[in-house]
Amino acid sequence: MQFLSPWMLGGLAALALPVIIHLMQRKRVVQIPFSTLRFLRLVQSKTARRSRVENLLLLILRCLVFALLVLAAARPVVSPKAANWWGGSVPRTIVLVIDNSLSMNYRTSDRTRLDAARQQALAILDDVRAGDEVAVIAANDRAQMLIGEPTVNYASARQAVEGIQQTQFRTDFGPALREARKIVTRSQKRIRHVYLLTDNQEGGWRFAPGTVFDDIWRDTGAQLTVVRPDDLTAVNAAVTRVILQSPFATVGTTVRGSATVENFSKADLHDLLEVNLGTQRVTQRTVDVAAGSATEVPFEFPMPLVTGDSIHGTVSIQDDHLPDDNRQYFWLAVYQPPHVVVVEGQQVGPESLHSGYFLTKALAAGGDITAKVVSATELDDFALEGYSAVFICDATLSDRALVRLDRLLQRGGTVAFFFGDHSNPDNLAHIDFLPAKPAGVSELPAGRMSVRTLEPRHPLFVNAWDTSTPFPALPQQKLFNLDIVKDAKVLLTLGDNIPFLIAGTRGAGKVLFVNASADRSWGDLPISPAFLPLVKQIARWSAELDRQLANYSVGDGLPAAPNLLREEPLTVTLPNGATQPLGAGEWVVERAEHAGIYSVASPHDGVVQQIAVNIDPRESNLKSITDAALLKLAPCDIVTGLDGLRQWLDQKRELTPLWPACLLLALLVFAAEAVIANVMARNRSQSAEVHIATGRLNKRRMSQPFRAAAPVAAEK
Amino acid sequence: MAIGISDFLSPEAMRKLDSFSLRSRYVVEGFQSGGHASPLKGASVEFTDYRQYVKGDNLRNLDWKVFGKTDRYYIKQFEEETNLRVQVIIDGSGSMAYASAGRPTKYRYACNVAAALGYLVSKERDSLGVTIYDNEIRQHVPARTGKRHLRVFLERLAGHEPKNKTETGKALHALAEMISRRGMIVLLSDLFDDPEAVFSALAHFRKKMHDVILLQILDPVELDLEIGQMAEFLDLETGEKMEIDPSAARLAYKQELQKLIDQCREKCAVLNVDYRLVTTEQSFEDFVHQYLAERRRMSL
Repeated sequence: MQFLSPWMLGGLAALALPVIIHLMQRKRVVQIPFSTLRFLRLVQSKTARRSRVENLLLLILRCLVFALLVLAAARPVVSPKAANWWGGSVPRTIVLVIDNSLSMNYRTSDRTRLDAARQQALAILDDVRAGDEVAVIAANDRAQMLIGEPTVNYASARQAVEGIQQTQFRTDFGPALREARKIVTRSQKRIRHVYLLTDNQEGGWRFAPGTVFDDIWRDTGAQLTVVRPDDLTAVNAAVTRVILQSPFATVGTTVRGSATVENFSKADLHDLLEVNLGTQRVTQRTVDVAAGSATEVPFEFPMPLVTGDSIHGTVSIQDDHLPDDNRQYFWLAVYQPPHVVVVEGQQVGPESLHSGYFLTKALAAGGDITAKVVSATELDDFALEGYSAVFICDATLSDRALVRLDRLLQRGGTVAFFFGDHSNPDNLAHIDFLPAKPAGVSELPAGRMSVRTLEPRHPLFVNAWDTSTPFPALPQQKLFNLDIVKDAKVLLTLGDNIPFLIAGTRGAGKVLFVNASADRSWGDLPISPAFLPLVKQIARWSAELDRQLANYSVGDGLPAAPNLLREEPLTVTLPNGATQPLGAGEWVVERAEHAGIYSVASPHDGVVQQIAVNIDPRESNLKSITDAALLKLAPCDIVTGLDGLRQWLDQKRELTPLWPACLLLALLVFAAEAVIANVMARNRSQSAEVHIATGRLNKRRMSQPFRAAAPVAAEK
Repeated sequence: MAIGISDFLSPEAMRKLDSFSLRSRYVVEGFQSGGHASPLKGASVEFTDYRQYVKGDNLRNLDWKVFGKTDRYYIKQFEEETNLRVQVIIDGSGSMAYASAGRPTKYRYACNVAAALGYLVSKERDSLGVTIYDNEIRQHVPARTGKRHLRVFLERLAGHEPKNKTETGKALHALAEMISRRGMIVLLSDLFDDPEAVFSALAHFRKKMHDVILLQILDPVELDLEIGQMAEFLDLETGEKMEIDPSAARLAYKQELQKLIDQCREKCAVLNVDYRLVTTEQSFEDFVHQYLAERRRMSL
């Protein structure tokens, strides 16, 4: 038995009070002269012992009342074993929620915070009593039910705790606590404990508390105890974002990009940023980041000679206590010369008058793009497989041609439309994948018109036009009045916000609407300085996959590229080297579990899709929630460290309080004392009411000799 | 300073006593003629019986009327009347010195009662004697008549201080041997002694044909043991001490005392001893008046 307020035991000195009063009563005995002790001597043997016993009993009972009250004030508790011995132990439902999110991989000395949490969970399991049932849940951004149905098989619970794996998911306690709430709601046990073993990361508490700590939770009487590590100060820095300016790189050219390095510590960071392509380090930069701030670090490197059409790389800083977030993965498409088709609507007269003349010349410039020129009618039977883009130059398209173009678009190809005097708006209205619908031709005044770039970071403009080299003004004379289709994007406007370049999508493909002619029928665009780069960018962009722009984090679903040819078996290679077949669904993996590169490969074409998955940057901020903030969110006890947990288990949670029993016992003893004292007083008062019989007998005896003559005669 | 009856009785009490007389229930043997029946037959106005004439009888007592009717000789017998010899015996032991708060000691109370009876006896010109004892006879005055003798009686009462242990049996046996003529014995005591010895002595008196009156005098506290707190009791006779809780012992004490009183009643009934229990709470004048009135009523 232990006492939670042992200093109150000093009150036991009060026990001397009734004893002193008792002794003082004895000293106050007065001497009374009495006629004879004859009768008192006779009764003494009967009453003295009884009286002494009664008084002693009363003294003991009064002392006992004092002692029990003092004991109750000292708050006695008994250990579980002792409670079991007298049947005072109540079986409990214990739910262990163990945080195995990325932040729990924070390493100090030779162990991680997850190791500490495991040890704490085992300490709790060491403390279970017969009849307790245990459930185990791993908590990250989801709830992982290791033992979903509470069990009394503590060995399996220990096994589950020891087997909890570190993950790279972010922290969100909501799902796990909701599952714990379901368990305690179902439980038939009177005592329900939920232990959350975690680093108590602030980000984990951003769920709606009302979804867990509601009236049902309160009705169950469940008690939440948050067990956190001893050391809450965390030193961590992370590469949280990487941006590559070029969507794809050409061998020998310079690849430019930037990395964001965030310092979540309270000390300045001096580090070295490394950029690796494959296993080769391509550049290095020093990084200085002030405490609690972020810095964007630009970098550039020459694109080395690589095989294949893509390469993956990392941007990393030096390892710290949490190494998982020190690198960001990316992959880079290696530029492959695109194969394009130019469809000429007008092939009458010399070649220079053909509607695709300037376009073909522009594409051929530099020699990296292979262009095949066909007429509109030839397109009906032309196989577009192997081509990434089709340029339509003032051509009227048949339905068969449109079907072919649609297939190209569905596979991820690009169709760019240029118009002219022979473009028929009625014919164009039938093309349902056009991002804008022509509604008549407008004449523009002579002279150049300024062009405004609405999305400067669009791949069409990267490495071509920016704020220092704006898109040049155009000498445009005619153009379509357009109705922009929903979801289409206007990339360039001419003059007074006249849509000039509109982008739309069809399946995985891209549709570009250039509100100009590829010949000089509607203006001098073909001979303007903007024409050649624009055409080249369109051709190159057609060879690029949109998916590389997507930013995926651990925990996200990774979509399969729509142009994957499913006729042959595809294999997914995970960052940890494991491989699995690609299913028929739309996901490469439904939930990315690791940061790194996920590759999809076919037996013939090699790698056909690569996806870079990185750590959720929110998880890198290891700041713990403050006790005050936590108590506002959830009614709970907060325990720090393994030693603190053990003390807490000993002192509060596992000990059975005895002071209510002491108070009850004191009340009973007090009642017994009152009853005994009352009975004694009543006995004494009753003895006072007993009177010695006198008088009547005398009269009767006296009357006899006076009335009866016989005795007198006898005497005679 | 001379002791007189006024030291024991108020004039009012004496006036009340004048209408009473102490009469014996039995015949007594006096030494002069008086108002009490005598066992001797003699000259008297009280006819008692006839008997056959025998030679030598005084012919003055021959009933001629009966001779004339029956032709037989009968002698008329007359009861002789004599005076009463009253011996008052007072327990003068230490226990008689007890008195609760505001009350007289039992000895003083006994003296008052004895004085009242003595006054009454003296007024009737009967003989009055007194004996005071504890473990032996301390004072003894044989019965005599006269007012001077009453003063001696009173002086002996006032001159004794109660102390010593009680040995009633021994003292009374000795006294019974000392009193030869039958008369009236009035014993005033608390009877805190061996009952067997006491009643053995009383039986001795009764055997000698004395009319015995036993007045047991007790203090009310002795009856009820109304002492509120734990106390150390000091025996007035032996000096012995005993610590006891009166409230706890009260019931048993009363039971024991009741046994003694019941025993006294039973024994007195058997011995034809007139027994009365009186407490010092009641004024002695009231008790004497009440007692004498009762005796007078019973004798009618």
